[in-house]
Amino acid sequence: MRLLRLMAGDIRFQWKYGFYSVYAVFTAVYLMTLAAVTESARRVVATVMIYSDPAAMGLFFMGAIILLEKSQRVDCALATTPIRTLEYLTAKLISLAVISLIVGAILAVAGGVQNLPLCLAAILLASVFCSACGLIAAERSQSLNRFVLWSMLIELILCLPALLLFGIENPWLMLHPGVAAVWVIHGGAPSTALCLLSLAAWCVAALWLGDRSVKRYFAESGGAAL
Amino acid sequence: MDAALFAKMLSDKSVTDVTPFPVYFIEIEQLNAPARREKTRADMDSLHGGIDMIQISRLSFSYSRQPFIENMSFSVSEGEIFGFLGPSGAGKSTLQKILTGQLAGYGGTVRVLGREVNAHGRDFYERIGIDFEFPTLYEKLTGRQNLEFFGSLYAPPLRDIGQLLAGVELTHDADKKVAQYSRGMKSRLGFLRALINDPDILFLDEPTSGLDPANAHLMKQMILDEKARGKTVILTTHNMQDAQQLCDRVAFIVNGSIVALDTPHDLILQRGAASLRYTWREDGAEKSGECRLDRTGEDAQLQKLIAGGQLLTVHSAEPNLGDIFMEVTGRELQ
Repeated sequence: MRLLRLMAGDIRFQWKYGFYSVYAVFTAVYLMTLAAVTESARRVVATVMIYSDPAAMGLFFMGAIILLEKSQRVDCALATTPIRTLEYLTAKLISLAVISLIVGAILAVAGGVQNLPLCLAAILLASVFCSACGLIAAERSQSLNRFVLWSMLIELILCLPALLLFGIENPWLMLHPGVAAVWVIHGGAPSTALCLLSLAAWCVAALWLGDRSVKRYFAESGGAAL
Repeated sequence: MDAALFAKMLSDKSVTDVTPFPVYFIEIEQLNAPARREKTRADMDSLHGGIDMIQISRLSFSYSRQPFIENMSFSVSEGEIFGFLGPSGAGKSTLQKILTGQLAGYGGTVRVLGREVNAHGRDFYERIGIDFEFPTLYEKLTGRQNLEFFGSLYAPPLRDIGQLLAGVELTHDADKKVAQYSRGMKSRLGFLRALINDPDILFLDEPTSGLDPANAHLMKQMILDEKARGKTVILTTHNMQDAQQLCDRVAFIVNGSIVALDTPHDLILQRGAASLRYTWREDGAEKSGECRLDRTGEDAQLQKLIAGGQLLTVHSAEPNLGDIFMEVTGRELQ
């Protein structure tokens, strides 16, 4: 129950800070773009949009949430409530994944994605992974500039192989989370199950690291650092 | 006070019989009390002899190789307001973070609510409340929404939000965004956030910092109200007036060590000498003199003025807690 209340609080926070408005505007622009491209290019464009926006934007939105919390010092208050670090992390990841899934589903339908359930599964896992990376980066960043540097580095690692995917189709690339996600969203992966398994494994690792980050975040809230 | 009457009191040497002046009566009687009981170590450790909410023994902590907190021992009883008094960087906030379970890796024993603090789970926070020096609120949520959200993170029963808001005169502003609040309003709301789970121990960090006198007064009254409800309050401050007015006992903390621990009243009486200041008119000008209150009979000038009925004004003056802190530590609080 506390997890649900935390999630409700996170969704309200995201609403108040205009995250949903930003998503609505982006979705409208993406839909107009999809309508403008040719039928043959639509699925590829939709795949790029789905991966880059709903899935990967979690990285930036999570960073923004953590930096806003730090700026208002609510991290100190949250760190001294009974909430557990995993509850805090999970609530944030799920609240952002819900937006990713809604927007991703709209774009997937509009883009003519082959298998919607698999596509949504990939969006969910990619969103969780990217958002957890955003939290880890934001926790280590004392300023927006440092977070931008961290997030650019992560984004480069996440996106570069995914772009290479369109020319190189080495099965080992399934081990890369970005490649695995794009392959499932677009269809035609050497093994969809292995792609999802790879993504799930990356999520578990990100959750573990994310939980450690939240523990440190809570411990350091209020100024003292170990 | 009428100088002639005071002169009579001094010459009669029967000040304890002077009942129309209760303030002087209390002060002088306490200073002259010959059989004041020597304090034992147990008295120092625990004021009321009641249930110890906090017990610290040989606490040490370090952020680096250099020790930051060294060999601290004290305990705090249920219903007590206990103050950590010291300059910035003395170790007060670190001590509070250890007590609230936010800093592990300390040495010694720190028992809070009957259990070693680092053995508590997250449920520990159901029973304590922390009000930070700075606002820790969602700026885009209203005051009421902030309390509702933070309240939702605790197990019931919770304090009634409407009553809490009314108690600090925030009812009419409860549905405004916190971003529109003044510093005083944010402080009051932050205090309510710490009370929402009806904690057994309340940790307050500089609760009146940055507040105007009216808001500071209101905040102090709120703290005393919690004490009246039986709550234990840990007050971290460098404001000696707050400590003197609110605390049952204070610990002077300097460089990570407790250098004095007692009630504010006893610290003042043990360390400082109360004095008597008096004025008289001579050659058309007003002059003043001062002597220790327990040596008025040895002050020839004062005796001469009393005999001649020439005293204009007489005031007793005791050092305040800030003076005592300076005397004990050689450092200023603010």
